[in-house]
Amino acid sequence: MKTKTILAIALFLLILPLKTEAQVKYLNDPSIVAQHKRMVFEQWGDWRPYPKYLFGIQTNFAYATVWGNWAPSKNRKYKNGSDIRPLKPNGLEVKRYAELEIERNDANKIFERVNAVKEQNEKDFLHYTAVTVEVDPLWLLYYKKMLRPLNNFPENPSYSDLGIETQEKYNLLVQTGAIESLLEILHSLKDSYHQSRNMAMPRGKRILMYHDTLVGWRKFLDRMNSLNKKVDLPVVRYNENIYQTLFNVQQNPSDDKDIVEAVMLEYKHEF
Amino acid sequence: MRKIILLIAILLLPLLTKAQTIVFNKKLMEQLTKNQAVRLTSNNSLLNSYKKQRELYDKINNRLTEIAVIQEYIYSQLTNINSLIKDGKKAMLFGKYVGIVTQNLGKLTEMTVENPHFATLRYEYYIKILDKFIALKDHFENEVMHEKHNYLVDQYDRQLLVGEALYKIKEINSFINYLIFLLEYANQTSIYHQIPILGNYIILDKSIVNDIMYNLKHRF
Repeated sequence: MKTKTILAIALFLLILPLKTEAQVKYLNDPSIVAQHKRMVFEQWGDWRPYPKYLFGIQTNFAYATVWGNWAPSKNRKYKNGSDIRPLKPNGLEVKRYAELEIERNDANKIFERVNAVKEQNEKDFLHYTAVTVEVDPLWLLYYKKMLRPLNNFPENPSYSDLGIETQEKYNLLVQTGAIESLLEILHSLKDSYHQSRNMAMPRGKRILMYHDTLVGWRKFLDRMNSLNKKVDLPVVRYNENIYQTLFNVQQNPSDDKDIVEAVMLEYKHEF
Repeated sequence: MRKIILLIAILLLPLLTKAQTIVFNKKLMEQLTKNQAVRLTSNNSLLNSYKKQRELYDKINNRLTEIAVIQEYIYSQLTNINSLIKDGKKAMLFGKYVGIVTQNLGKLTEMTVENPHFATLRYEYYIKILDKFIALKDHFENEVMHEKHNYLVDQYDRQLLVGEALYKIKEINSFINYLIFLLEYANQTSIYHQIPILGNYIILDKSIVNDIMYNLKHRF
């Protein structure tokens, strides 16, 4: 008895999986497929289930409850309404996407414009800044070479740097104030050289400044050389009286010629 | 008993298997997957477009900040006085000459108080010096050391302006020195030379007479 019940249960257990596999039900519901086609993109229309007429009277119960008289009014409204698939070629979602693409295009245009402005600004920056002075072609070709002597000239030159032969001549020039004004010029030239290399200004203005400095340097050299010539003039070198009158030193006239010269100097402005 | 158990088992079978039934709608599944794929692609394309726009706007923002920085740099260079000019040799020389000029002015006032009768003859120099002082003050206040947002000067021009101010103050100094010199030697110079228009006439007459004498000597 017991064994048989066990056998029956075992049989049942054997049958069970077989039975379940066999229980797959294949459905084909074209009306719901049509509804899904309507819901997204594929096709509007195909209003299943279709009505059936028998002697002019609609007899399909399914049709009546879904689209017919017994259906809720919103169903009929949906059926009679316009095509509202969101992803149809001119659907709402597609339109949105198109608008978005137009916006993106606009953003791209703005980006291009801004980029152009930025490039121009970068050029302006390079035009203004003092970072690029070393690679300026005109500087490399001409001004670097021409302004090198100015740059190498000592800040506080000795008399030999100024081309003066002896310390005495130098002292004479210091007393007249010639050296002071010369050094004033030299220092402002050196300063403007330094400024032109380190300040931010347009490139054209920078080149003008180089040029001004170069012209000033040439004038300085001329002045320096003329000073050397002046100090070598026999009048300055050998005439004690002129030297003394220049610096208000007590006069000790030695001969008649000096006395006459001194008198002439004294009354120069009176007649 | 055996039969009953079998019967029960057979009766129970459909009940048990009913819970395991699978309904499979192949066409609906196909339609659903198609719909889902279309939805996903549409959604992704929207998201992509938004993402690209966001990237573009971020880039635009970066560019704009860069532009603002560059503009600010150039603008500050055009409105502020560079420290190189402020501490430059020319500005220092200008300060030095201001000191010298004030010293000389003191000396000049002393001389003027001492020799008022000679000073009145040289009144046009005083007026010139005063005019130049006013011009220099205006130049210095309104052009050289002017730091305002609506006054744009680049550094080269500013350096030129400082040079001009230096030149002007040197000129004033030389005028004052000349005036001091004139007053100092006023006692020793003849009075006719010091009267403004008359002095010129004397010099002219002198040169005319000189010319006549020369012609007499060498032509006849």
